[in-house]
Amino acid sequence: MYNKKRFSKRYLLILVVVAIALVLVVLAASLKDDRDLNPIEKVAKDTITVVLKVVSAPFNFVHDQFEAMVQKNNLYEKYKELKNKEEQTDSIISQNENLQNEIDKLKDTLDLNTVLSDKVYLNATIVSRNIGYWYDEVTIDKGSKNGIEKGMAVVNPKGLVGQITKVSNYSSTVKLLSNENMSDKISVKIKVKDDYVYGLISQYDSKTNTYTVEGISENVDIEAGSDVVTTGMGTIFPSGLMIGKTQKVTTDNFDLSKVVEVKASVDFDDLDYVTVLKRKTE
Amino acid sequence: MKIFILIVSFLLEGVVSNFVPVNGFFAPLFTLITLIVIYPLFDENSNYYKYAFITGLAYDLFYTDTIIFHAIVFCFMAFLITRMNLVLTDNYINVLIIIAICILIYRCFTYCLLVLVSSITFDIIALILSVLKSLLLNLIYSAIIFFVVKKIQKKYKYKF
Repeated sequence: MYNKKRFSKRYLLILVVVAIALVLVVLAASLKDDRDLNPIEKVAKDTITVVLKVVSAPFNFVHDQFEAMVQKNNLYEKYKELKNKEEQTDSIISQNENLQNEIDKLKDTLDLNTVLSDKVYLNATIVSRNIGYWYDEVTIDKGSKNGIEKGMAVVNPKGLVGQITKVSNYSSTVKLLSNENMSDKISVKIKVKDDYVYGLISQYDSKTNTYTVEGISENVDIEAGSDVVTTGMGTIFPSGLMIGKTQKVTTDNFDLSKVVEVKASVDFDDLDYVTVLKRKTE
Repeated sequence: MKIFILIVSFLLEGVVSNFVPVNGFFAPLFTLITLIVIYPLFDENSNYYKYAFITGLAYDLFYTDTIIFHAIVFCFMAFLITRMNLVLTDNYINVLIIIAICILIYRCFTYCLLVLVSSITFDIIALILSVLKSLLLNLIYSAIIFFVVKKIQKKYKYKF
């Protein structure tokens, strides 16, 4: 009797150890960013996207109506703000046209087909957000059938949101820049007067919604409030995508380089619609 | 009826996640909560484990893009729930205690495993916050589900 009990206890312990090892291996394999979804996962993902869109429709309707009501109260302030912006629009449009002409001429002269900032736009709606809490991921309602590919940059009107990590036929998973693994080593440039200084994002702090940018030379003066954008270097993001504005500049522990705290332009708590950018390759 | 409650909670978790901020104060865990509250509706534990496994598998496939991770975690949670139900009677206060313990274990377990297999650095404050964020909304939801389950139990006299 005693032996049988001891045997079953030992058997249970082995079972638990094997189960934990199995979970670790499976989890490590499934969390790989370069993993492609298998056909079953693709069908499941597409199905839940459609179902969630249908189930969410009445809730979204109520939410939109409520938002519209709130916005109606600020209508006059909005009108004044838009009136001011309208006056500036004409000059911005003409400036934009001039710059585009210049880019086209330079591309012709240099015989370039694309530049780092060339991109194609695809709009998408977020259908579910950060389920499972730790993953910092959202699901959008556009997939490979809509032209989405793994690795594309995702933005909203305020700036860079994240990157497409998994794609099924009619939905995709976006890993947010707030994810620790995602925001690591993104190449960025900071505007200093009429020039740029280059650095790398080393981490994101969710409490303050700030990034830390490192690798900047000690003898550069960076003012608070300067724009921080992507450089387009590497294969991840096109250039010129807004990251945020500088907030605080300090030096590292060895007084060799500057460490810049950048306030993220995107509010990761408030994401509804996003745009997927495809970098032009031809 | 058990399947219906589970499916509704499963979908509701996806819908509600859309209306709460990504890093906000409410983190829905409706599927796990429902799994805890509907335990008295099962005659056999083996059936309960099957439901937990399938629900976890659906969670993996539909929501988190992981492979059988939540299926195993939900089975483990089901095992804990059955053990706790052996010593605690079926009333709302005890259900609340089980929910609080399960949320704590679930968050710690998933976070520790993620720290082990990915390059996330361990942050005890983030872990505590995740548990606190999961408590309020889910305890309110558990009250609703508990009320529904009790109504069903009365109506069908425990036969499912």
